[in-house]
Amino acid sequence: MSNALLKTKLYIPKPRSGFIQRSKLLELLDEGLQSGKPFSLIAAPAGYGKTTLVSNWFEQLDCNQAWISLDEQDNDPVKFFSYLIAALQKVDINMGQEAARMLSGSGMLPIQAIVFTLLNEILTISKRFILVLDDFHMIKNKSILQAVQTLLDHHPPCLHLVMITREDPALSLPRLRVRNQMTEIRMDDLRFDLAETGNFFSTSASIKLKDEEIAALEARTEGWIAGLQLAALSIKGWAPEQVSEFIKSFSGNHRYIIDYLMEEVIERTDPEMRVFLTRTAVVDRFNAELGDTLTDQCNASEIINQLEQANLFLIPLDNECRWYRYHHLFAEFLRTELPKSERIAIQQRAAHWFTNNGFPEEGIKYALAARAYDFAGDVLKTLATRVFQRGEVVTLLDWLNLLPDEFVDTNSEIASYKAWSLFLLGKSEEAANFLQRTEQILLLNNDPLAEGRLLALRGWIANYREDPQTKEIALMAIEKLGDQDPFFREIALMSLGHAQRKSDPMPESTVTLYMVYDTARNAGHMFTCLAALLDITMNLVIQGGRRESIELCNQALNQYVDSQGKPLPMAKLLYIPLGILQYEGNNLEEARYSLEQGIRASQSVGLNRILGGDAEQTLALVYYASGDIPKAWDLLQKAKANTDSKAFPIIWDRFKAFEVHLMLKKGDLAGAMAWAQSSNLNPEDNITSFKEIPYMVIARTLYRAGQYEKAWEILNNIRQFDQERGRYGRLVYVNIVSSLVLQAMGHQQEALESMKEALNFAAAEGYVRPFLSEGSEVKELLLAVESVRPEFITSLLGHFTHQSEKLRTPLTSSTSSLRDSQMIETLSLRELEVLSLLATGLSNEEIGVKLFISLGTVKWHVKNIFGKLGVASRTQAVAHAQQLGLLKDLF
Amino acid sequence: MEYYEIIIQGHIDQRREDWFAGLKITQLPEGKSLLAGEVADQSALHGILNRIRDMGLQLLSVKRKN
Repeated sequence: MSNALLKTKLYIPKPRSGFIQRSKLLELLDEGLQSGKPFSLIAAPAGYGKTTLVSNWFEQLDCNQAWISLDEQDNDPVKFFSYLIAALQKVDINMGQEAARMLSGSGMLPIQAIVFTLLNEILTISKRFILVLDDFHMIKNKSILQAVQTLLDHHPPCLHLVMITREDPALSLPRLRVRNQMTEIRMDDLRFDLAETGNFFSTSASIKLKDEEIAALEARTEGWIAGLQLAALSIKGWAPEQVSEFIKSFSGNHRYIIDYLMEEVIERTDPEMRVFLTRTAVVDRFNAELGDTLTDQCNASEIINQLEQANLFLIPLDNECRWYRYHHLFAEFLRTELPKSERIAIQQRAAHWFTNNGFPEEGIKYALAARAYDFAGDVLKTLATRVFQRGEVVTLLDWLNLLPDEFVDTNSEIASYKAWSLFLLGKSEEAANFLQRTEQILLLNNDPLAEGRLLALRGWIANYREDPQTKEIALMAIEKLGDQDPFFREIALMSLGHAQRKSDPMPESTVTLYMVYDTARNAGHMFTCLAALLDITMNLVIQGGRRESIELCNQALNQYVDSQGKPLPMAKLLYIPLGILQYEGNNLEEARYSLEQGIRASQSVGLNRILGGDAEQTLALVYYASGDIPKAWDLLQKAKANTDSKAFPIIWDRFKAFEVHLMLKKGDLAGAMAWAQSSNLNPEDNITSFKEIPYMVIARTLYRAGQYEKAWEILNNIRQFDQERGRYGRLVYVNIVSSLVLQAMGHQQEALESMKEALNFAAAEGYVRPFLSEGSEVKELLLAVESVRPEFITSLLGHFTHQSEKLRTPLTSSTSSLRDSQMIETLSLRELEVLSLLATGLSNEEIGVKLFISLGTVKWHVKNIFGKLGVASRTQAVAHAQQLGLLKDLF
Repeated sequence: MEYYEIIIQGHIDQRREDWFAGLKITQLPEGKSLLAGEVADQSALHGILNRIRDMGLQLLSVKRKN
């Protein structure tokens, strides 16, 4: 749990002694809970006993309970969720662990992802529990309201939510009402009736009143409990005549009840007590030590005792009698008793006390209220980096917005935080404008760290805008920041890495991103760490560092796990590069699993667009290669439809190109040509990393159409681009297609050279699929160069024999016989391994021992093998496999 | 700046003007009070309405004057 959380906010209030039992209302709450309603709403103005009712209910209930007393500061989603998770963990320590890890250092993470993670964790709880959100009217933040709505919509059966509020929350309550899913207790239900009023005076307040006096008080207060309590305080200890006189004058005048009674009550206190009340009412919570500080006295504990005995609206906030606050209504009145100048002096004292006693956030709050900007600014500087890391950017910006412009403009460090907060909250235009203004301030102040932070931000914005100066700016930021500020250093390095990816050889970007990874790992910044790993592994996919990348993905998936050992949602994004690499190694089933997982994870964390559609495109290829063409097509159509072609034109173009790639595979040459001619891709244009795939599709189309020279020209451009940028993973594809084109042009020797180059690299890094996916002509070329990498080629040819992918292009239809493979489904590598061991006569148990897998798994594989080969016994399977040539590449 | 008139139930002391962003408090017959004055913007208006809610006051009407 973050140490910035206040325990007092999670305290379950205890009903005070002498509380009037409100059996009807308690029954109503009980009924709702018993009948399985997910929600109770208690909505009424201040002073109607809402909190008391629920805390009384809690005392009688035998089930797990959690409570959050909300305040204005909880409008920061990260704060709200931190408290929510902390409250849930009081019920079950295991709940919310995954969500909490997502929350830490995730300023840019969408809340919805955290809600769903949390929901899933709540669903694992079997024992019912109640969660109270007290003072929910404080919450105005839309994403929090939406999150609570989601929680209500999915209402996990183990959770009963109670909301205590002064106004109806902006949630879709009618829906819950109609479905009879909520218990509702409102002002009219909460008013004391005549009997309760009488009961209150005789037992709780121990005041004897005549029936007509009780009736008069009930009528005048309309059963408002705060009014009745104040009336009781006013008349306590008076003689009966005085009491009747008081009730008469009270009933007969028009003054607002609280205004009238509060004065009576305050007048009855002695001067010392009055000073204590008015000064401690300035703060939202106080303890004896703070009380002494604010009153220049040393008798606060004593006064607190007296207040408790006198029943003066003092509410304890913990079990240890350390922290207290006043009832909101009472506090509001007390505050007007204090002249403004005095209030500011008290706020200043409070600011220092809170800061010096380990509550700097409250320190800032009172410093800002007292307009002690220098002090607020100083405390803010000590907190800023931590607040950024926790992702509480809303809180930070709230503070910064309360500082006057003149102050921010003359303080470069504060200015740099403001610019970043604006940017992180999606106000990038405002941030950019702010940056421009702050540049002048920087010239006046010699503050390299602040300058570094602002440059890091400029670099990040420049990168978004595809500004060619990104790299330069990022480098300057890194230089200014030095080793002083790891958080912003990571950010600056990250934008450098992204810029290098566009302009430099890939390895340079990868080296930079490794630096981000190391810095973040040492600093414990999990979010940045995983973001860097994702970038590194995706870079390696392009660079052809297949084995290194697989290793990294597997490591991270094993390392960043929740309590049950499952990868964290952010870590699951690594399934995307892993799936692409598995596809390239022709492990189709594994690739399918990984990519489906990765796509789901990217949707849940809202990052689906950032990865440029690589995951969907590869998954479509996996479906295609597994023979499920409609599914491949469907997936691409959906991905394309979900991509806004105006906002993400490059990604949309890539999806379109991929669609054509599949059309071509299916043999629709005319359709592919039509696209190639209408697309705005011009062979004379510069190749870019995003356009490489569309250009490859054009090259393949031209090849199929017999326009070899044109295809060759484009391939050469791509080859040059890939060679310059160290994109060796891509070069494998380029070399294979080039080999086909050269062969068709009659340049046999060069065709073989190109194939050899592809083979040498592919053999070292384990590429299989690029050879299979370009069609059966590749097989003939492979046979011609068999001596280069005999073992590797043998295994490739084996894959060719049983691959199910069928090319129906006009060119291949007459030449190939292997299209008519007798295999319906491809065997996975694991299945081939099992099959080869079957052929040696080993038993299932022996195979299990040999492959380090369980007997059950062996049986499962054997069953799948039988199914795919269409056989019923081991002997049949081996015989059939030999017929198909499946066993030769394994011996 | 816009001029608003808000009527609430019950007489309140003029010392409470601070609560309502400086709106002038006038006591009306039949036990009502009028809060009137310039309000900076809609946020400020909602701040005042929230305050009325928080004080447990009964809101009778809100009018904008041209």
